[in-house]
Order: sequence, then structure tokens, then C-alpha cells
Amino acid sequence: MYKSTFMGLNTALRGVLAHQNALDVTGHNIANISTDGYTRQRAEMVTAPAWSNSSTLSATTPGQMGTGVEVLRIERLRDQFIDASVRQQFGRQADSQAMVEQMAQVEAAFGEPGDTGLNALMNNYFSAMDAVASNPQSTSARQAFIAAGNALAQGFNQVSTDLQAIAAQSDQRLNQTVTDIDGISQRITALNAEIRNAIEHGHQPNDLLDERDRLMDNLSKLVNFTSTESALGEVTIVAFSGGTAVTLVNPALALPSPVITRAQIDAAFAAGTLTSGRAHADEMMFDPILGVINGGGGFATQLDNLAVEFAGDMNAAHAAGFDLTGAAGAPLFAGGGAATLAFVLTSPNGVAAASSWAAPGEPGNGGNFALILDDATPGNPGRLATQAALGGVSWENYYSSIITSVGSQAETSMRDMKNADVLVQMARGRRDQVSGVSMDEEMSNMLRFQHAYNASARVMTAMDEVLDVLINRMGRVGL
Amino acid sequence: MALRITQNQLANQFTVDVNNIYTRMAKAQQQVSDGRRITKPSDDPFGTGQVMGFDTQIADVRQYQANVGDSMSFMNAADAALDSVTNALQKIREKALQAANGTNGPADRASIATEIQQLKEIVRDGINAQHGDAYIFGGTATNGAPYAGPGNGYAGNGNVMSRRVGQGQSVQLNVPGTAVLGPNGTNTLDIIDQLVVDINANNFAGMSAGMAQVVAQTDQALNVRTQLGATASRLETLQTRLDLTEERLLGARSDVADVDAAEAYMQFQQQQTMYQAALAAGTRIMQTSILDFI
Repeated sequence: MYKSTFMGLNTALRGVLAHQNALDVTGHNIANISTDGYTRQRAEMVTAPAWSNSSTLSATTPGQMGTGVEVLRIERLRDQFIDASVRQQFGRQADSQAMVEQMAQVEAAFGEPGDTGLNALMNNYFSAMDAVASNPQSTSARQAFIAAGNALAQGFNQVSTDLQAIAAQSDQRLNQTVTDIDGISQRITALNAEIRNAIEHGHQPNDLLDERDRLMDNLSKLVNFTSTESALGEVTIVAFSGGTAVTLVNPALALPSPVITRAQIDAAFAAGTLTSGRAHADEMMFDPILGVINGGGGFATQLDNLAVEFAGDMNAAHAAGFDLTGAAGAPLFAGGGAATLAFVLTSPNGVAAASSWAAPGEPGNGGNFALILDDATPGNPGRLATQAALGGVSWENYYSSIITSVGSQAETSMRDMKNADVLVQMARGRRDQVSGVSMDEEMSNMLRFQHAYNASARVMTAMDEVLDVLINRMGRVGL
Repeated sequence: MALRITQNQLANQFTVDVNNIYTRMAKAQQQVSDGRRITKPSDDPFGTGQVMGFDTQIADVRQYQANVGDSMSFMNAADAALDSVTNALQKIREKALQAANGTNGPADRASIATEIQQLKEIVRDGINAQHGDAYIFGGTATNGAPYAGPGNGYAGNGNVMSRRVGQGQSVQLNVPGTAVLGPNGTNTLDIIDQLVVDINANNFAGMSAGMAQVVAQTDQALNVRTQLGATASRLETLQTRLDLTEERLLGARSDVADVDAAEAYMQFQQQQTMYQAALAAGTRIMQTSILDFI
């Protein structure tokens, strides 16, 4: 048995078609060179099934006969392990970036070092107090002291208000995160169905897979999660881990809507399983127990401690003195925290600067205020005295330590962000090494495919000429 | 397989690198133009604490300077008051000496006595002097004249009025009126009254005893003046020292909080050079591709 006369034409045709296909893929790659999340594709060519000469008697074509080329599939060049590490870095980056932005607001709320911060207001307050101690009979010095006291109390109020506004903003954004996560989960669930459908029909849904990977990248910027992919191409996504794990996408389950609640995010943060993404930074700012503002050692909590201790000490010290009517000093401050601290003394004559009041009166006595400024006995209501409630430091040193911790926290987030930027850059680089489109590579492929196309077409022409000889010139003897 | 490097990778890397350099350049530029190294706590958390500490110390020193300045004007007022007291006392002694001269008739003595009465009021005015609203020689009872009259009794107290001139350091400013004029009943004003009585009575023994007492009272007032003078010179020394302290603190604060101008400018130049180099190299590489050769 002999092979078909036209077999060569078919082989050449396969070459033409396969390379046309490869050129199309190259064109798709080049067109998507700037598309976010695009994975380069490649037409994977294999030799077409060989034609075996089944006749053992034939000696003309020993063994098998090649029948050309065919495109097996359009391959998508992607590495899932790199994806997992890229997403981890995305999470860290989003976390530290949000942290840096919010810590910048915290720093601005305190306004240190500067002329408007609490440190300056406290300096003014003590200077005004010293001026009264030195000129107790001066009404204007007493008025200046009252003004400085009011400014100080308002300074406490302002910083407290600003800090709470930052925490409230994070709170709102966490609620928004719930909506964002839900939206992404819904879209991934929809893509899962489409992808499964395509794969079941034997197609390779490359562009759908790209879109799903892009959505998962975005999700990693919100919360940390793990994902697994089934043989049918469907992914299952679980946020957090352990007892606080929340399933975000699972084609086999009917999930609630929305797929995640605010309480679940809060619980994951409390359990320490929410570790990255913007939600982590927002929880760090907002959380009333572990957060950096209202948590146990938080900035606002410390400021409240200071306000309470300072107001109590000041009132005690003031009560030990005598005002211009000879009465013991009335309270200077009222309020139970930085937000509500108020300077309540209004009358200059009510400033109890005197340490004693022998008849007929000692308006020139500023001993009580001098004592407040110089008293260093631990526990006494003095400027230099250490206070047990403040961890064994004075009022001003306690405030200074708050600012140092604000600075350290902001510096740490800044460093984290720089690290995360570098790592994201590296991980992205690794992903691009595998999945990125290289113009030079595509162009040289294009030349290759173009030449191969031309050559296959030339083979077809040669076949044509051979057949021309066979059909038109052979067997014409005697015609 | 060799590493694949794609155009996007190059472009991304380039963007990140240029952005980093640009951020550093912006920081260097900010430091050059405003001269501050620490503008927020995270620039240097420990340094911020130091700067705040310096700010507090500087505010304190400035208040001490104000206190010293104010104390000096108080001392000047006290000195001027004592000056008029001692002058008046010296004149009283001269008048008494004149009265003790045997050639005076009763009318002359009466006129001398009247003059001494008036000088006594000058003494009283001197000891009732005020600095601002405060009576200088009334102890801490600064709101009422210490020798308001009509009697010669002291209405003030013996308490100390002091000014803070440093942490835990204070200067005693005032001297109670009794330290200048003596205890109630036998004070300068009582002695002058007695002298007037003796002159009117032409009591020579009384007059000469009175004169001796006036001299003694003058010496006492002069002693107080000397004492105040010593305090004033201590205040002057303190003022110089506080000025030096302020200068030292400002310098120390600047060392922590401010940039070294030359170094900041060098940094800026360096970043600028790097920025230009990165731009030049990046754009040149990115411009070239295989397309130029096909």
C-alpha cells in the first residue's frame, strides 16, 4: 500500500496553519504587553500523529511517515508557587502602607516637636505658673496663668479628638473592607463556574484564569488567605486560619451573603490570625484592646492616663495653697480624660499661689506655686516628682515617652513598608520572569513563525509543481 | 533556563528606583530649605524626646531670665526707696543738731520741729514704696502700706518674698519694714516723734540721745541697702549665667534638631546626580529594542 499522493500537501498545510496560529498567539501577547495581570501564552506545537505503513511487503517507505505539526494547546506560562509568595508580599505591603499613612496622621495629631504641641503648651503653662510664683500680686500674671491652663486643656482635647477621628476612620474602612471582600469573592465564584465550564468542554480559559488571578492579587491586599485549586480549575479560598478561618469562595458550599462579617475580621485580629493586608493595619489603629490608639498601651490611653493624673495632682496641689481671699484653692481642672479635660478656674483672684495666709493677707506669697515647680518628692504633686500611676516618671517625661513611642511606631511602619516594597518588587520580578511578555522574545518568535509559515507555503508550492508534472505531463506519450 | 528579563520588568524597576531616588531628593531638598532634621517624631524618635526636653529647659531658662530681670527692677525700686529714707534720716540729724544749738529761740525750734515732722513723712513714704502694685517692705502682705499710719506700727508681716531663678534655686528679694526701721514701739518713726517732742521741750539730753539713735537707725538702713546691693550683684551674675545657659541649650537643641547645612547640601547634590544618572541610563535602555533592527 502506498501513501496518498496528496499527503505532502496536507503536511505543508498543517505547517501553514500551525504557524498562523502561533503568530496569532504572538500578536495576542504583544497586544497585552501592558495589561495588568496578563500571563504570556505560547502555542505548544507537537508533531502530528505519524502515518505508519502497515504493509510489511513494502520497502519503499520503511517505518513511520511524519505528517507535519499541530498545535496541541495554547499554554499559559504561570507558576502558582510564585503567585502565593507574591500575594504574601502584597499583603505585607498593603498592611505597612496603610499603617504608614495612618501613623503620619497620628504624628500630625500630636504635632511634635513644634510650637503647637502639648509639650509647648505644658512649657507655657509652667512658665505662666512660675510668673505667678514670682509676681503673685500681679493680676495680669494670674490671668496669663488661667489662659495657659485653658490652652493646655484644649490642647489635650484636640489631640484626643484627632486620635479618635483616626480610629473612627479605620473603623469605617473595616466596614468597607467587608463589602470589598464580598464583591471580590462573588466575582471569583462566578469566574470559577465559567472556568469549570470551559475546562469541561476541553478549552483552556487562559484569559479567565488571568482575571481570577488578578482578583486574588487584589484580595491579598485586603486580608491574608490560602487557596487551593481543584482538577476542574475551581479555587477554594479561606481567609485566616484555625478557629477563626472564614471560607470566602467554595463552589461546593452555599456561602452566606456577605461571605464575611465585621465580627469575623475582629475575631481573627484578636486571635492573631489576621496577619496582613489593609484590614490588619486598620485593626491595629482601631482595635480597642490591642490597637495602637485605644488599646492597653495605646497613645490615646496613655494620654488619658496623663490627663487624669495631671488634673488630680494639680487640683491637690492647688488645694494646698491659698487664693487672694485666703480660701484654699478650688480645683483647677475637671474631666475624666484627655477628651473632657477642662480648666475650670476663671477668676484671677482664685489662683492659690500663696503657701500661707496670715492676716491681713499675703498677696505677695507665691510659695505654693514655687513648690509645685520645684517639688521632686516621689508621689507629691510636683513638676519633678515621679508618679506611680505613670509608671514612675514625671508628667512631662511620661508625655515625652508617649511621643517617643509614636515616633518608633511610625518609624517601624516606614521600615516595614520599605522592606515590603523591595520584596514585592522582587516577587513581581520573579513572576515576570516566568509570565511577563518580553517584546524582544515575541518579536524574534514572530520572525521565526513568519519564516516557518513562508517555508511551509513554499513546500506547498513545490508539491504543487510535483503534482503538476504528475498530472499534466505524465502519460502524454502519443497524445 | 537563563533568567528572562522583560520590558515591563525593566520599566517597573526603573519606576521604583527613580521614585526612591526622587523621595530621597525631596527629603534632602526639604532639609536644605528649612534646615530642620526632625520635623516629626519618626524622623528620630529618641532625638524628638531630646528636642522636647531641650524645649522645656529653654522655656524654663527664659522664665528664669524674666524673673531675674523683674527682680532687678524690684531691687532698684527698693534701693531708691532706701536711698530716700537714709537721705531723710541724715537731714533729720542735721536739723536736730541745729536745734541742739543753744542760740535757738522757741520759734526757731518749733520751725525745725515742723521740718523734722515733714522729713518723717518722707521716711514713711520711702518705707511705703511700691513696685508695681506691691508694697516693697511689707513682707508678703503686699496689698497694704506697711506703715500706713496714723500710728507708727508695722502692718506687714515678716514672710519672705522670693523669686525662682533656677530649678530649686530662689533669691530672697524683700526685707520686712521692721528690719529697716526697727521693732514696733522703738522704730525710727517713734524715735523721730520723740525727737520732735524733745526739741519742742528744749530737752538737750533728749535731743542728743535722739540724735545718736537717728544715726544708729541710719546705719541700720544703710546696712539693709548693702545687703540688697549684694543680692542685686548676685542677680547680675545669675543673668549672665542664664544667658550662657540659654545659648548652650539652643546650641545643643540645634545639634539634635537641625541639619548641618553643608552636609545637607552635599546630600542634595549627590541625590540629584544619582537622579540624573538613573534617568539617563533608564531612558536609553528602554528606548532600544529588537524593533530597531528588524
